Amino acid sequence: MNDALMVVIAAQAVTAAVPLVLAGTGELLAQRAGMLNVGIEGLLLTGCIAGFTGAALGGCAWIGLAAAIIAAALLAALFAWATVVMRCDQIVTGMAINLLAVGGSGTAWLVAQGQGYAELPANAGFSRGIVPGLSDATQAWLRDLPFIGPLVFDQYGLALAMALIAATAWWLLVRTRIGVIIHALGDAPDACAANGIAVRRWRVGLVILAGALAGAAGAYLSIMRTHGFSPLMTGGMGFVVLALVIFGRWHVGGLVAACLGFGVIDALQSHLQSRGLNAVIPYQVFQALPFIVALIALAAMRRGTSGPRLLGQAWPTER
Amino acid sequence: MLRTFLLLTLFCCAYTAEPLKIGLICSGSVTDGGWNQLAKEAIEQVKKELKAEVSILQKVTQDKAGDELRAYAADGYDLVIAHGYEFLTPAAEVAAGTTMKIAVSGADVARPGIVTLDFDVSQASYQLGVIAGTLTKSGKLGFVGGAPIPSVKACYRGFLAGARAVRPDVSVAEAYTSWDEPVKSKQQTEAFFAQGIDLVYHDVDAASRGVFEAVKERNARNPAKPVYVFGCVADQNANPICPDHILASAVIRLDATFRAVAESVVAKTFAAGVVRENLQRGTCVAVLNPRLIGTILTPEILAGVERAGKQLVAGSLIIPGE
Repeated sequence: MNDALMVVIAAQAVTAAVPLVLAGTGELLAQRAGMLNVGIEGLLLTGCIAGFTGAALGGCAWIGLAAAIIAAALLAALFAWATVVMRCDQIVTGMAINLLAVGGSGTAWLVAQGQGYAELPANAGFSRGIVPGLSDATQAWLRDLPFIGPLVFDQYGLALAMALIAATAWWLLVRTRIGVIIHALGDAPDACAANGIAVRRWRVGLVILAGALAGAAGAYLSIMRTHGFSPLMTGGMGFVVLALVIFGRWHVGGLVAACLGFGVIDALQSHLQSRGLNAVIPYQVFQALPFIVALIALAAMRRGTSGPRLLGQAWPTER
Repeated sequence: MLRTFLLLTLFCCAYTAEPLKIGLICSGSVTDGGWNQLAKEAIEQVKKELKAEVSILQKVTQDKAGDELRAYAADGYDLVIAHGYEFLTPAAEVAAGTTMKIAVSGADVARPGIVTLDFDVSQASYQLGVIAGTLTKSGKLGFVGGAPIPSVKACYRGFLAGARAVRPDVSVAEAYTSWDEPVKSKQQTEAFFAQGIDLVYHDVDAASRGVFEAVKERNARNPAKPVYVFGCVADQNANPICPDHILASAVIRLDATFRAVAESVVAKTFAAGVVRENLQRGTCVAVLNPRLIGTILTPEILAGVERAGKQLVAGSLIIPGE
């Protein structure tokens, strides 16, 4: 049953959705607070190279994961400093973060080449299997469970973390006072300030949190999914995340559904290609398929007012 | 005094001849373990042998290639090798207005003023196809390419023809992802395995990591039904990801080609046209994985590969065109 095409596609969709949900949850929290960071692509790439470098030099995947989270959080802190403290334009700064990360990761990769650690040492990456430390027999039993085996247990470790983080973010936003504050930061920062909430400190904190999550997503790509680094390996994924946050109408549930939907269509295009549809339809159509569907769905959706009201604006408005 | 000085200057000029300045423009990263890395290694070989001065540009896109070529020309370079089919049009444009020599790799059409280097890997791919057709249990093979450009399509056609020659009912699924994104090529290879494909051939650059990773994971999960893979362009048989499951590689001997072009510039015999590298010239060959010879690669398979090679060289066997 687990070999059925539907199950394979669903499992691949989860695998593809993990970095999208991780980075997307962080971006959603930051955007809810009024911070529009278009530099996710750069944060992901930073996570990729830092994760790789940490794992290669430290000889341990956990060091890589920590390095990825720290490096991307630092880059996000730079963004926060520039936009919140220095009041630079958020879009321009975000694009600068992207460019910085492209150059920085490329340089770090050249250094890795020169110093001879271009390959991860054996066992310095996370292998497939959701819970680290379980015995092989237990892992095998879990992943052979019908349907939920491939979908839930035959994934990489961060899939579990993704579920926990997304659930926590949902709970925070919907059920707690912190959620009210985060919403208010993006809708009415003046009111927040009047209630004694340090608007700028909150925004900086959320941007750094978003950076850390994007860093983890980058580490997922380099030290979990492919066990190595190649320049620009994110291939525009950061911009997909940006679209998916909007697509999910700034709700965690919407975001997760959008990411999984994107994953399904992405996996589907791989299977359609290999089943001979290439001869009829140009392969570029398949590659663009997830993006085309996202665009059509976005355009078809009713324009709601569910987004943060003051997204991308510095606070205080007048100085 | 002045005369001595002039004489000395002349003397110096004659004996410190300017070294040959060669530029290399790569479409991808020179650490891709394939097409671009091969070019970097080849140009470094040329640098050593001809004592040339070498500059390498990585990840150059088609729209930037013209500017980079003009910049090289302005810097007084003697020869630039634009290493990729996509550079053909910009190279032909620049060549019309400069004395700098330009060679374009991976193209099989002539353009005025430039040398195009055609690497016909289809014959070596045919030999890999012979191995695949013999070894496949399911009769289903997979091919993943960076983009369906002529040289990649030729690999696919050769592979298909070789496999069908030994087992007529074989099918080869064909998919194109991206040259440099291992995440995508891995997902594609997983999709291949899900439909029962047990042998995969690739023609991608840095994305080959994704293909090998998928093979490694599949074999770790399901050792009873092993899947195998072929390398392309560079000799990838010893790739550390899955060295025991790479049966063979279709290899381009790029250093010989690059050296010949560079020498023709030195000897002032550089002439526009197409340089055709192939199995006959011994520059595009199938290299079997020595670790697997005698076990999976049985003497019968080796004989079949050799027989196909002889027929291809003799011209009695021709890879069908589009």
